Amino acid sequence: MKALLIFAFTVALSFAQESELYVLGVHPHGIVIFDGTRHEIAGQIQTRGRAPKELVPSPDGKFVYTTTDGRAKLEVVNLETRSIDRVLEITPPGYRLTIYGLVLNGKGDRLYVHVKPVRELIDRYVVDPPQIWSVDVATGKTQKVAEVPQGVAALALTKDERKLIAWGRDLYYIDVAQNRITDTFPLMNQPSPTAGALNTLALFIQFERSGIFSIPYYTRDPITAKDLMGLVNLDVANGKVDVVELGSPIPLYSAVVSPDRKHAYAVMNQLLAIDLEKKRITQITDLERTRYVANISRDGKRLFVSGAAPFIHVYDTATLQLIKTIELPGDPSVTSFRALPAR
Amino acid sequence: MRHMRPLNKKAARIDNYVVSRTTDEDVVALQSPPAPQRPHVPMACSLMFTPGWEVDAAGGTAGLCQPVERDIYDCFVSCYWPAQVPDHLNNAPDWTSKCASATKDWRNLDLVFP
Repeated sequence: MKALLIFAFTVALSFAQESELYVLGVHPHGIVIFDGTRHEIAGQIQTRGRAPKELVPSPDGKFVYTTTDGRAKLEVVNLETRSIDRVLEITPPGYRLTIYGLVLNGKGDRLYVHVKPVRELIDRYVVDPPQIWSVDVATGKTQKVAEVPQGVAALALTKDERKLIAWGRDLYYIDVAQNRITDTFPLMNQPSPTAGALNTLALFIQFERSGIFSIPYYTRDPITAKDLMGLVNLDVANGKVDVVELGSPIPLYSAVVSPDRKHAYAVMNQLLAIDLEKKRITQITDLERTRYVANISRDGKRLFVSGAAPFIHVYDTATLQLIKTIELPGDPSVTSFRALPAR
Repeated sequence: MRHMRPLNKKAARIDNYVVSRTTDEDVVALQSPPAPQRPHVPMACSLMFTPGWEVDAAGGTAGLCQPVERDIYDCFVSCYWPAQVPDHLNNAPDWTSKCASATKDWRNLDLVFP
């Protein structure tokens, strides 16, 4: 009997270790843990604030940091106890914060957040400049890193952790030691009149599998007056950017790059497969409804698509055939759909 | 028919400029007539326009979210469409709390009157 129990425990443990786990927020107060191996919901955690948006897993996969209550609260989610450990109180008295952009350092002890502070005075609101703060995860103490232009939606941290990359109207490279923007990659503000502005929406952040933070862009060629689309691919480790033009526009919300960096998949009212080496769209599948976000399995064979309705759809990346649909307890809306690190 | 005529030198200069811009040129070669200017509406959502818009790049709605209920929860938190939905910051923070899925339970959304 004892041997049987040990065997069962070992099998269960190995099964759990092999499972690829993903997290996404659901309406009105939840985080869903999705098992990407078995294609089922592995757990659900109640958040204190409503509508979780950004999700950042800790390097050990034990915690997830999430923004809730209209991007105003910062909650620490314990994945082992399936509960909220605490809420990081980073809002100074008399202020209201809106958080767009959250990233954790490699040790997992320091968060960087992009906040839009509003001072709530008795007779008026005063909008302070958007800025990036570093947050000590243990104490919740904040420190201003740098001010950034309006429009930043996402943050990334280079592998050497010297530079933060803020994705807004342009890409801003912030030197963490110098506390200032030291470089800019132009998207909307193109230096040449012959280049059209690249319009991006960096709300969907999923680059765990490839290290490439990929966002669709739209532009109008100022010479030919033709509308064009493509992908802005940011290598998070070193901050290098690759702009991949794909031709006539198709409405897209987000994209994810395969682990081998050879393919990308983009989604909105259609699902697109993109060959990044040939820089062309290879497959298009019409979706019956809008979906916001996709993530990809570790082996690159399965695509998990969600957002905008209470479902996760599993697709075969080779054929774009729908394999399975999993119902969720609520709408994910604009939430990150993050892969948890292997434990 | 001209309804206005210039009364001073500056107005005459403006009038001459407008006439020069609108009069056919002597040599047109193979030029096509200029395309009429239309507003440029980018594809899908964007952080560049606050608030957002309600037409797609072609001036229709086919390029927007389908159906609109799928997009409603983020019209008021992430995508800057605050005018079209209740104010979740001050007056109606819980107007969606009884409705986990807008496409299925939209009748459970609170009615909010200004």
